[in-house]
Amino acid sequence: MAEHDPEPELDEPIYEEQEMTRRQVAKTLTAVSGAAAIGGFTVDAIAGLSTAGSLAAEKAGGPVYVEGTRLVTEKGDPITVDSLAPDEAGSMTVFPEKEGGGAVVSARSTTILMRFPEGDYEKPTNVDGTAKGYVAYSAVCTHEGCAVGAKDGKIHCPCHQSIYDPLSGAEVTGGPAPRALPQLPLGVADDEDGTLVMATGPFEGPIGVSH
Amino acid sequence: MPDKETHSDATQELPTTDPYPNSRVFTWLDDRLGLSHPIMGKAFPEDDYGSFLLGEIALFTFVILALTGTFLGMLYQPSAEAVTYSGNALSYAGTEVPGAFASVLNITYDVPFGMFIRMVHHWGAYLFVAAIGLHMFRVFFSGAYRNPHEPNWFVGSGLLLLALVEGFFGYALPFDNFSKTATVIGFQMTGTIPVLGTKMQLLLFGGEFPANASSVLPRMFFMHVLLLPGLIVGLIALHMAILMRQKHTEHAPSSREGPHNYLEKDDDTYVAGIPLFPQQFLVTIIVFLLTAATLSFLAGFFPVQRIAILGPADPTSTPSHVGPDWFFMWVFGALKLVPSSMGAFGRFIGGVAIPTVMIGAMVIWPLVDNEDEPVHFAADPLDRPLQTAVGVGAIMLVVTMSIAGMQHTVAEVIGMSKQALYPWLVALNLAVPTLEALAVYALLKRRQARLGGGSATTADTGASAGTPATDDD
Repeated sequence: MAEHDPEPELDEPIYEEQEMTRRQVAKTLTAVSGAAAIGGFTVDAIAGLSTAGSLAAEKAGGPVYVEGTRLVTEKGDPITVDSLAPDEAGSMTVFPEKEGGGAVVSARSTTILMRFPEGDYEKPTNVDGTAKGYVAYSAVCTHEGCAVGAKDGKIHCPCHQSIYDPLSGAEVTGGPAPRALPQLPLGVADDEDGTLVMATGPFEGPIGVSH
Repeated sequence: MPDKETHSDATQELPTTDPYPNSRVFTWLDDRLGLSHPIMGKAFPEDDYGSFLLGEIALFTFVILALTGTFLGMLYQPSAEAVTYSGNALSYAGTEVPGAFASVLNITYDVPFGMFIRMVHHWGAYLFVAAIGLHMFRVFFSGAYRNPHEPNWFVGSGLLLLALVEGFFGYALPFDNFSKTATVIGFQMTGTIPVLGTKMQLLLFGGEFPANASSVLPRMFFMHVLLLPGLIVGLIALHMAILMRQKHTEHAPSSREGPHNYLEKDDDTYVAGIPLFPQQFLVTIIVFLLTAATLSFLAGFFPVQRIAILGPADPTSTPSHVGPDWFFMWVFGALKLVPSSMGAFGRFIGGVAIPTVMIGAMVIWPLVDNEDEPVHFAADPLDRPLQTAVGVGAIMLVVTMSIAGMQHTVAEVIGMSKQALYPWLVALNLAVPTLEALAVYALLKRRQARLGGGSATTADTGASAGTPATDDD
């Protein structure tokens, strides 16, 4: 900035100031256009790459069971009331039946089916959602999404050792899982294949990890 | 690694050309390429322990990883679609497995030398992370991160992080049931990052995993073979450039005793050591060959990640003893230690916040323990009670967290239930690192007091004051 001299010594200060201004304008323009070019490509790349993913991701959502979906094994054989013995706290991995036969096999559709004596269930199990001692839960751990398995009447996650109690609504009884596994309400119905176990609605909560 | 700028000042009369007048190869090359650049005389300081070579081991491991990775990348197929495998692995012959898994089976059991190359690559990944870790231990405990070397500590930390991410994406590629589980956990952990989580999941993985594995695998493959190695190469170049510019740190002046005792012992304005060419060059070749030999030995005798046993990725099941590669075991442990009562937020704490804080503390350490004056001599860790105690405590914490990560196995070995073990693991993680750090601090303080006031100045001015006299030898 030119100093406030009463006498106008025009030449030097003004000339210098002009030169600085031009240089700064040039610098600013370079910086802005450079940043726009780099930023434009960056935004393009990030938007494109992450949207391509989300388009694919949409296919994964949606309900797995609806009312009346039959439970089947991975091979597509229907589950009957005799699939598990009544008093042995047995378990098996089941899936929703695909329209026209077979099983919908995916991580989200994997369901753990267990059978206990009918009177053993306690709150917060949805006892109406059990049938003939059968209870079903989503097999996707609510901690980090691993597939859980049953052992000694409990449901265990092999990844971070979360433990769920199937007799009390798959509440977490050990390990880091933040919430219970969602229960699948069950019913039985007679069919030409025998007395079958089927869903009476979708899972009673979000499947797997929720944020 | 001769610099390419040599051409211009090629004909400098340096004595380095003189010793080889009889080598026609050298003379021929020197006439054309001007090999006698000052950089050929760059000093590599003496080090009785070989600890100054750890960084070289990391570098050469990366070279081996790039070479074996090129071989594997030409044969691997990043596809999740089911294909019929028809090869030598009997238990899978004629069965439908994911394309990626089939191609790795093919590499392992059908391509000549494929299994060896794959195992060298896998062991190379282990050694790469291990060598970087040990190299950082050396730099940390000898105080070689201090002014003016902080920038290279930052660059080196970046290399460690990139190596870890490389390891994660590489582990995922065979698409066996272990690696699928690891990827699921990594995917879900990314999702716990506030605000950006979902965006980052889609950006890094390219879709929901494992539901959209067919779009995730190609993206992870591309990051593993191009993007991340490119960044690593760039950072290695920067690391070396800074090293060339700043010169090596050097052991305390005791290393200048003996035949070199005409040098000023306390003068740290220059570095004494053997020249890059030919002496260090030969040492380097030996280090490279030993690295290659070690990896070949490990790969030949100790096959790891045997995917034929682990089985292909199955979205409906998780293997019972699942766990990540050893260098992620501490994060795996952090995920287990966070109690269920913290809810979904606990997942962020264990999977993202704790590792970030620990890595962040490591990265910014040179700003915490800073020096106003440049220090060019390495310190004796025994003369730095606080720093050494912090370092030992931090390493111990990573060890105890890794033990927590192996909760399942630990419970089986000592015959306790996993639930009963949990409080002990929490106590272990809180108590052992703290106690060990305090014990180290107390011991080293006592040692300082025993040796008298002389070493009090050492802590302030680095090792340049009077340390050599205290060396135990």
